[in-house]
Amino acid sequence: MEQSREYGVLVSLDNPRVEGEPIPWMIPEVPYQSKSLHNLPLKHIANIGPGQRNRATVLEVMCIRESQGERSYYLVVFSEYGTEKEEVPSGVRPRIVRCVLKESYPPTTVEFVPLMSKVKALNPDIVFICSFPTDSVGIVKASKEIGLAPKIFGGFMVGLQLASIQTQLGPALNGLIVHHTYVPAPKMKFPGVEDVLARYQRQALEAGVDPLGWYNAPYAYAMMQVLEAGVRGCGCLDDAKIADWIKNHEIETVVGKIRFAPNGEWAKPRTLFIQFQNIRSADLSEFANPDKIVILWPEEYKSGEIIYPFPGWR
Amino acid sequence: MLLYDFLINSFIVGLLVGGFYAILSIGLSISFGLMNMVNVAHPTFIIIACYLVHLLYNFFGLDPIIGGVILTPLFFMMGFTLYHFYYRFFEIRSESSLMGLIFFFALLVLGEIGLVLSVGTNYITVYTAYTMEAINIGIIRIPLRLLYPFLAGLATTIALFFFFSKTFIGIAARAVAQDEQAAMLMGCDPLTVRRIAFGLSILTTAIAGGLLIAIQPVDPFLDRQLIGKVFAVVILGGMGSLLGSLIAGIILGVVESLATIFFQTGWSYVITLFILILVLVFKPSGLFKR
Repeated sequence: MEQSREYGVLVSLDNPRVEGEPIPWMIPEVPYQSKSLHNLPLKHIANIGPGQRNRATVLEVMCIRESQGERSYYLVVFSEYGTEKEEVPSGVRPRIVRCVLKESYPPTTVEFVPLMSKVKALNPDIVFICSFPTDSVGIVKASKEIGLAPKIFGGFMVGLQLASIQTQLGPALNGLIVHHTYVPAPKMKFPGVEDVLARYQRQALEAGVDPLGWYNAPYAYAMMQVLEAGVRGCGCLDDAKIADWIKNHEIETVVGKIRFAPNGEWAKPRTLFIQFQNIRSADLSEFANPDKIVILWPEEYKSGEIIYPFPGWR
Repeated sequence: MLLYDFLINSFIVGLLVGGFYAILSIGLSISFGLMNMVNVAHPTFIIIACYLVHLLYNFFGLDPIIGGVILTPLFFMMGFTLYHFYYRFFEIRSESSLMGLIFFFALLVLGEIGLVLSVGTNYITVYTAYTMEAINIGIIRIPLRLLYPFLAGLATTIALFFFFSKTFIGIAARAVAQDEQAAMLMGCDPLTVRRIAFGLSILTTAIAGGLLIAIQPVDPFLDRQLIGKVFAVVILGGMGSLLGSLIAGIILGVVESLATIFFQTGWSYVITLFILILVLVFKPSGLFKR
């Protein structure tokens, strides 16, 4: 096992024990590994991340305004790893989406100005990006510097959910649409989550971790609640029985009720797609205000309307 | 955007990034090229500097580039002292090559773990007045976030070049690197000269740390991504050649930038390594001499 830098919790994907052994692996959110994960015979895995297979949905959220107009538009896709290139989601009709560039970049990329200049030269309507934290920041900075102005900008940009990065980018985040796991909007105040976040935030600054903790803390807590429920539910410590119980029951947690599908993902994916709106400064209070982190999707948790095209980007 | 605008801007960005690569590597050029010390922990010192610069930024609001400059005496003393330790336990016992490599690798790991335990795994970054700003000169658009590190890197490289070519200590350091016995006969104290040279090598990491955090977010493990790049620059430029490192950095920066434009981004690294291999085959000592 190794410690994940992004999530601060235990992750093991390449451990030989994963394959075939009846261990109820609780996997914290692993956005970029789902493909390799599902290629393994992992009968006992449960991914606490609220659904990785709906990654393309953010693209649909991005496309929805254009698709209503039934016009052609352009799409640019990035991914950090070539094997994980995003495809146009089935929900968006190919005739209204034309991908003008698919590009991957190596993890060692230091500077993104050349790459984003290449994007700018194509003048896309939508820029869809999958990136890790340092790259996400580099991409936003480079895009602003070169004056890239798509109608919609965002994607699966990991890191932009963390307060330590948000407070450095400040208003530059306005308009971006990215995935998120938790925002304390009125429809997402599940029993117990506010208490967990309050306790987390009291200790976070001292521990040198994300001061808000929206992205990770509730799910880290929920992960242990699921395991607890599994142990209590089957009344034993038998790994296979615990895993079986977890897979076959709906479990009440601080992030709501969770039911796992046979593949170990959430039966009903719930990754949020949010848009940063009206961020006026780089102060932490701006990002602690759920009114400025507007949930666009899923519909049942929606907290505001998409601003499109976003003035700051166009 | 017209093609020539696009090409010129990409070239300029490559140039600026290359200057930044040079300042990342210049200290290694001193330790590896002039002193035969395979300091694989060089990028770790840069990351440590980033965290200290971040402290200065948070507490005093200091610009990261100025913060890096302020840290230089501390880092000089760190290098000065570290060399004494290295000399005492490795060099004097003629165990400097392999054991020295292990020593620096241990420093790399200790540095990373020390940072994780002391400041956590959070990404740190800074927001300055020139972050996300650019100046326009005709068709050229220059991001200030890259321009200032480039200028600072250029100034540091030129200053070090003059130090090692015009001052007594600098010339003595090169003399010790060429022939220690002969240098001693000329009145040099190799130990002192090497201490100072290694101190300067580590001093540059303070400046590089300030520039790195001005450009991108930093975490304790970023040093691993930089190792390949800094060694490639030093080897391409010629071991111990400071101006060679500058030019090699610029070559790599420009090649990467243009390769990104014409090919997939990943190919930029393939082309960079291909150039490095060509140089090693046809000019194994690198593009420039000491």
